[in-house]
Amino acid sequence: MATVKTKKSELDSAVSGREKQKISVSCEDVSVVFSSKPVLSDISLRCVAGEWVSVIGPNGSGKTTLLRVLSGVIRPKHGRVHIGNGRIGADVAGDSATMSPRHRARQVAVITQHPIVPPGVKVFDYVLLGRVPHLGFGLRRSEDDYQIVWALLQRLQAEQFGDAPLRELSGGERQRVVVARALAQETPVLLLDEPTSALDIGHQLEVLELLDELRKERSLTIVSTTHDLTLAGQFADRLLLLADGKVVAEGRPAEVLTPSVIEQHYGAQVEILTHNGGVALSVRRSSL
Amino acid sequence: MQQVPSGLSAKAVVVGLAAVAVAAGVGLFVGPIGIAPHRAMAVLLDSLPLIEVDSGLSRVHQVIITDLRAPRVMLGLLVGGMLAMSGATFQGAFRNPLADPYLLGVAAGAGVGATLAIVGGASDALLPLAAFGGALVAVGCTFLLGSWQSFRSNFEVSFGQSAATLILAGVAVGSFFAAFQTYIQMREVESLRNIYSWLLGRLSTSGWDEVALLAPYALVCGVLLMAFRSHLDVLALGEEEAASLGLRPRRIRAIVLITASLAAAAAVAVSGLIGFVGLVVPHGVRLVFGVSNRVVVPLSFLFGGAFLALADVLARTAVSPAEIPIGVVTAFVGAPFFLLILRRHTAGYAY
Repeated sequence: MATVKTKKSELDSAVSGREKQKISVSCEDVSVVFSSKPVLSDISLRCVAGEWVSVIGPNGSGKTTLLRVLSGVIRPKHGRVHIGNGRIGADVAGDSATMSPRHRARQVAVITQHPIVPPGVKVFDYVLLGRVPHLGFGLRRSEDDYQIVWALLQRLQAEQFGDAPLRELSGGERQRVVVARALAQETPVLLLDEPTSALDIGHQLEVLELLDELRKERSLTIVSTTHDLTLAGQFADRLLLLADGKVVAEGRPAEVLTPSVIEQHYGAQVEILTHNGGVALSVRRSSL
Repeated sequence: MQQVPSGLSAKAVVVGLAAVAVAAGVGLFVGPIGIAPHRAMAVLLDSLPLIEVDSGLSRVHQVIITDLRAPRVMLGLLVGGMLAMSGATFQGAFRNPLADPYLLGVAAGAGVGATLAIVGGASDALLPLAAFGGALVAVGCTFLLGSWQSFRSNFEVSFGQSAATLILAGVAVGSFFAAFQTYIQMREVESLRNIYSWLLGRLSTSGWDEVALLAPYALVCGVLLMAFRSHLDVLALGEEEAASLGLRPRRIRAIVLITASLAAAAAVAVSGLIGFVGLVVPHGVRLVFGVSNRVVVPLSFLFGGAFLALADVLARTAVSPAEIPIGVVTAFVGAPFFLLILRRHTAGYAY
């Protein structure tokens, strides 16, 4: 039986081809309302496995809310969210056939914009918290969990920090450790809310390059938000531009990042430079 | 070089148990009436089933050991352990170093219950039950008021708001109950002294009955808080991240807070209000053994018990034959002791 099944799935994937690539995270017609004010309206997004999608948009456009919907911590008023084969959250009618939080946490890991670093917690223990969705009753940990964390710290060149309190690390080091914790969840999908906003330009590049390497190594799907359009234009495969809770542009960086689109939604005048297939922005003061 | 994750090490447990043993020993052997330790041990062994040892003590001295000192030590260990464990849990669940076992209205509720019982002329035996009932009513009010809003929210988590709401509800309920208690006291001035003696806490009237009353709560709460102690380390990341790691932060917080409040209410019911244990002991444990609640919660039970049992020895011997309220002793001894460890271990630990 097993061999027959394998052959069938091989056949499926051969037939499906590029158009029907595996959707790793998606949402359909998602709307979110906070105290009767619409924050997201009819957002649909489909991310293919291994893809890096960057959500951009001015302040208050709903970027972070969209990530929270995708991670399941906010239930949308309408719409559906799928991760892998499963569905998370619930629509208005209510739906019990959704993933448990624990199951969901094995599918999608989140790095919030300002991760809370509890006082006195050591780096090794912090990364170990990423194993929580895989632990059983009483959160009992095994030697395997320690090995996974140890290997991750080595991979991210952070093993020398293991015994240090996380709070004592510099911003760049700390962000590497936060990435390690998200990776310890061993999820196919990674959601990053402005992962580099607190870092200088050198460390921004370092962390993003690291994430890109890990994405290719582990075929992760990344959905990130950012205000840095130049970095988004060079790291993301695809951009989703939100304004007032609606999708106003979507596509490859060169398609979305045009002077007229930026002017219209950000009210800023920019020149677009292309570089190795990526896009960089140069901001102009109008009065000069 | 591979790091060792923070967890409950055998060494830490042994140190904790040693502290309990020392405190129990001091509690049994020290008192206004001198009884040699080896004779006291003989009496205890003799009281066990199937063992007969001749201690050479008079009947009165035997009773002092078995029916006065032993239950009092036992009660000190249980009350101190429950208060400290409960305090550690409150600090973890609220991510707030100043949280204590009385935060959600246990103290004020128990105060009203006990005051009503004293004023109503109830017998001493009913006092613990009245205090316990009052504490449960107050904590129940706090939870009802504090979680009211969350029923209407479409958030899986509400990003810290629910914790703050709960604390504010606790403050409001506490103030209300405290005002109510003051009102009754003003009306019934003649029972003021009794009420204050209860409020300041004591283990003096304790016997095996109180131990039997408390033991089941200690057992149930202890097992539950132990089972959920590791979750507190995840809650330390905040509600949003705890939710993204697959927990239901509000549900877990409700479970541990109700359990910890129950433990505190049961302790208060038999011993009155004993302050400082729930605050000082967990912080002392954190400073010495690290911040992971996997370690802090169980060790707080052991060291809290040892601390209170020793404090009780001071309470009953310092101005013998009179007794100092034990709550006074815990504050007198606890504050300097706390400052001492704070000075020695501040590195790497600051809220």
